[in-house]
Amino acid sequence: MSDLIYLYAAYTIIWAGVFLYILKLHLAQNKLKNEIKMLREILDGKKT
Amino acid sequence: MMLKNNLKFVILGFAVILTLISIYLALIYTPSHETMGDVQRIFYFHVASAWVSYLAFGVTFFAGLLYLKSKDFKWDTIAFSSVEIGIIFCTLGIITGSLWAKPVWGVFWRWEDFKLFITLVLWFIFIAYLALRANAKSRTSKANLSAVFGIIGFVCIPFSFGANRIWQQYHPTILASSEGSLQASMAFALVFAVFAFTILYIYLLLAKVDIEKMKEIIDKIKQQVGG
Amino acid sequence: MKAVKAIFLKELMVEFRNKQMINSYLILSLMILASFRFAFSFIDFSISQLASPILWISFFFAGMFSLSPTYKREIEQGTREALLFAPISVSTIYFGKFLANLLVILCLELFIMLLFFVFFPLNIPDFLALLTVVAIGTIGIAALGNIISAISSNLAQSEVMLPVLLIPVLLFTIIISSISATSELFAGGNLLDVMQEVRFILAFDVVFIAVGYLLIDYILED
Repeated sequence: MSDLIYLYAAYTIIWAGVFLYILKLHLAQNKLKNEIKMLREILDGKKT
Repeated sequence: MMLKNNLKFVILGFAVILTLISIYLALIYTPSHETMGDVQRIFYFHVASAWVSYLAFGVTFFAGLLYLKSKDFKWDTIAFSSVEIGIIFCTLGIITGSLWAKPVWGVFWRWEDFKLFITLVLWFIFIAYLALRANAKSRTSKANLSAVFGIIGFVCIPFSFGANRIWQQYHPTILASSEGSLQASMAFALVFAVFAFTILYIYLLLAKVDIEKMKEIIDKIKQQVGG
Repeated sequence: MKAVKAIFLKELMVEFRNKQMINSYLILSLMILASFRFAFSFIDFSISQLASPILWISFFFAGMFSLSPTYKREIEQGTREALLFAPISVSTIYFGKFLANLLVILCLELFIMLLFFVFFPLNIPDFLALLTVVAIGTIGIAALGNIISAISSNLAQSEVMLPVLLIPVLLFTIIISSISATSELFAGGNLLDVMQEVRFILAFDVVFIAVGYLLIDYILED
């Protein structure tokens, strides 16, 4: 029965790992998109 | 850009659905293993993780070759992104492998097992690749040297396999065939899990490549703004 | 061919120009082996089991010290551009350096083996087989080591990067199989017993000499 601990641990680690990585990518994507928008505004501002 | 985004979401959605199905298959649909019991269910996603790490490295190898040929940085970006994803799944594969090994074999690790060995070698090569990139001195140098090292590392994998097999001959261990016989339903669940993870890998690769591209755009803009 | 010989001789000249270098290498070999001897003096060990790994780990580290400056010194001494502008193909540079490294490392290894048999008395029935295995193993170390040395010389922290890059690709492939083969020889085998390893190591040598020839351009170009 104690074997099942390994099963729970393994599944938790895998899915937590995958989920966290997807989350990290998502957050990075949003942050970068905002930064690009901001920089483009500055660039437009400088031109006018 | 919009089309790309939509495509990514579709792939992510597809991956999520496949993953949920494969979890169902792994945990509920398949029967308990005759000797190992339910712990064996780790094996579906352990194999899938290891498979993705090998796939990722294969992509890095080919992307490296294509980069050296074309000198187009997009191939280098693909190669690097694939390594990052690959090392994550490699780590997951090793961890789940150990967690499966302990209840079944009694030990967390076994040097004789060539699958564990190869995956560990791959892990070290991934780490070395990332260290190389961190210490590169220019964009071109980073791309060139990573591509070459990726090729070298890829060629070394079969050699590591061969070396391990030779070494095993001097230390013959009667490895209890821990998989036993794979029933049809288990084989199906395994293939499905591998397929689900492959689609997941494709999504992650697209997402990571996009991120790297955005970083490069930002660098370019910053140069313009600064000037 | 002549160009390769020229580079080869130039490398040797640079290496041996400085007598201190030779002394340092020899002292290094002595230190490595003494460390092993010292480390194992505290436990009961079967020399026949540990001989092979100790020997090859010593070879590996000594080899690394020879490989480390091979490409770095071109950068440090400012001869890099001159070398690349010379009317020779880049692969010639690789082959010349590879052969020079091979010779230097082989000499180092002979010295290490001499010391080894002093520190760890052991019987070797087939000495010729041992030399053969050492030689072909060293070819692999020099071939791939040269490529990795060229790569790391272009990186920041090149001293640290050389082992970081070298260990995953060398240790788990050729070093392990060389250790297997040498172990078998120490246990009383002859060359025929280790033909499988020999074929494997030779394949490794051929593949990575080819890889070096094909890829050195990309490593050394700016």
